[in-house]
Amino acid sequence: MKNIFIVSKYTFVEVYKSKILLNIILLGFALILISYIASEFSHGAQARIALDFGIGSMYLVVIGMSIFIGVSLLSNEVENRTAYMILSRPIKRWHFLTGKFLGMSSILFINVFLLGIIILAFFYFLGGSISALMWWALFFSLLESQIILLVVIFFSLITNVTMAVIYTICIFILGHVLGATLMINYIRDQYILVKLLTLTKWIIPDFDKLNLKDYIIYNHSMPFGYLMGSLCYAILYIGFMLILNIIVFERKELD
Amino acid sequence: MFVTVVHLFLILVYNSIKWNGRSMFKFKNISKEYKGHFWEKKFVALDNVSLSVDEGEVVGFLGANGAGKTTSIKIIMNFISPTSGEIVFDKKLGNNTVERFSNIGFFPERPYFYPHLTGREFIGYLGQLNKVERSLIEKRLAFWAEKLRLTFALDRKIRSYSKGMLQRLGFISANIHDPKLIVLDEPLSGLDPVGRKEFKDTLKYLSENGKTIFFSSHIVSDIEEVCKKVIVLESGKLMYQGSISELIEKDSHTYLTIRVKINEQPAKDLYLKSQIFDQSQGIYEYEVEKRLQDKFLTEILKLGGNILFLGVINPTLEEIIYKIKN
Ligand SMILES: Nc1ncnc2c1ncn2[C@@H]1O[C@H](COP(=O)(O)OP(=O)(O)OP(=O)(O)O)[C@@H](O)[C@H]1O
Ligand SMILES: [Mg+2]
Repeated sequence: MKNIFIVSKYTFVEVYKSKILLNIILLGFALILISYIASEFSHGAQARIALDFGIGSMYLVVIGMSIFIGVSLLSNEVENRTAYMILSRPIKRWHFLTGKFLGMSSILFINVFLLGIIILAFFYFLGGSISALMWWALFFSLLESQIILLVVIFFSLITNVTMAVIYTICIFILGHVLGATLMINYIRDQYILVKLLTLTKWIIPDFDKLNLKDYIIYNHSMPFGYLMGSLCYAILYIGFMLILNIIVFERKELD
Repeated sequence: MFVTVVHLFLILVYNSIKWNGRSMFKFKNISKEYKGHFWEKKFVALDNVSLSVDEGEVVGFLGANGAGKTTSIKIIMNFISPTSGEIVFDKKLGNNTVERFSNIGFFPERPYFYPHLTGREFIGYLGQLNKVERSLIEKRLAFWAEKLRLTFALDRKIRSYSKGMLQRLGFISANIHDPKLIVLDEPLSGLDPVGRKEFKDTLKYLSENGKTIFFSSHIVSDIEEVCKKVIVLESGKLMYQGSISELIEKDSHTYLTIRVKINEQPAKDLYLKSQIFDQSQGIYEYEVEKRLQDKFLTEILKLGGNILFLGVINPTLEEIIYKIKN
């Protein structure tokens, strides 16, 4: 178990030293600039627009990061043979994988909260009021990025890097539009299609459940039960994907 | 009755010790097939290979490019599994893969590291995974870095290391937990002559300290210098396993090249070939059989010749494999 911690620590140190975090902070200020420019064009709802823009672009940055760092997290290690260096030590493969995931998750955690705080501070500065739901929204973005991270790791274990990125982007889009698709009247009439889509919806992560971005702009609260339900869903999904990845990685031929 | 039982028991103990004291690991009829996509033909990388590496030996693993050396080593390290056959490890190394790895030191061919960590951090990482105490890691690191002349670079990012420095760092990482068995894939590739010499001396040093060493190479002379035993692989098949001196001695291709400045030619039956090296200065080059070396040299000195160069021509890998085949 201690090995998981050691691996995650050095995964974190490696990414940290690559100065990605520094770039993220710079990006944060760029986001503020963009939200500021956008809000200048709006009449009245200046703070809201800034928040909408800020959170939206932060979300894309974090998702992009989990895809592009995630895809290289294991496949690079296998292709570059760094994995050989580690896996020739007394460590179980699943400890290695879990450690990598946790190390990367802590990087995502820091990103979401650094960017989030920058954006919320700006929102506050423009006269908006911070609600608890905004923190939930940040937290849910983090959960979503972790699911994406596990999805991209999964694909990078079974195909090559390019295909893994493409598949993950497909899953990301499907995870967002499936719920809405099922609401379309035309589709609701097609019995088989509905069954098929519902089945897919069961397998593919349902990112609608984790999407609070639209609510934070206008609402100030969501039912607690809803938040808890979404949280449980995300945790279960993360657990499921982690186990799936472990099963694949334990059996993988590292050649 | 009692005496007989004790006697039998002793024999049993003796035999188990003897067995344990012999083989560090064994390949038993190992084959490995690589399958690409289902429409591609499968490729046999190892074909029914049986070999054995004994405790305390330094064994060279000789084979041309693509012979299956790396494949075998990956099987030893459990990165890939053989298609058929099994590999048996001495119980002394541990009962399962994880236990065994605390007694095996390994580094892969063309090693690659985390570029943003420093050398010291990287060794610290691996040392911790090996559950070596912090102070002991530092002590061993200092020792090895000194020996391999890497101390100056330990606090630099690995990204800035040269190929030879990476190789040295890999070597240190393989020894940070003081393993019983050391498995190295082409440890000498990418090193300059001084580096090669250093590495070979280090391997000898480790061997003198009771380590079992198994390393691959495609250069005969490197293996000859360090090992007593050699295992030769060709296109996935085991060609030879045994003493290296026997293999090379039997080889008729052990010649010397001797370059001399001389006015008179030595007797024809003392050399195989001669050629003019530099006409104006009267320098000739002779190819001499090893057994006639002394006779030839005395003759040259008697004739008042001046010996400028003397070199042994080692058999190449191709010559050795050709010889084994016949
Ligand atoms: N993953 C793989 N899929 C298909 N074929 C492979 C794979 N890995 C190795 N091979 C093939 O197996 C054969 C043996 O390869 P291996 O890497 O073991 O050779 P080697 O003896 O280490 O050679 P070198 O001296 O070049 O390192 C080669 O012909 C190689 O093409
Ligand atoms: Mg090789």
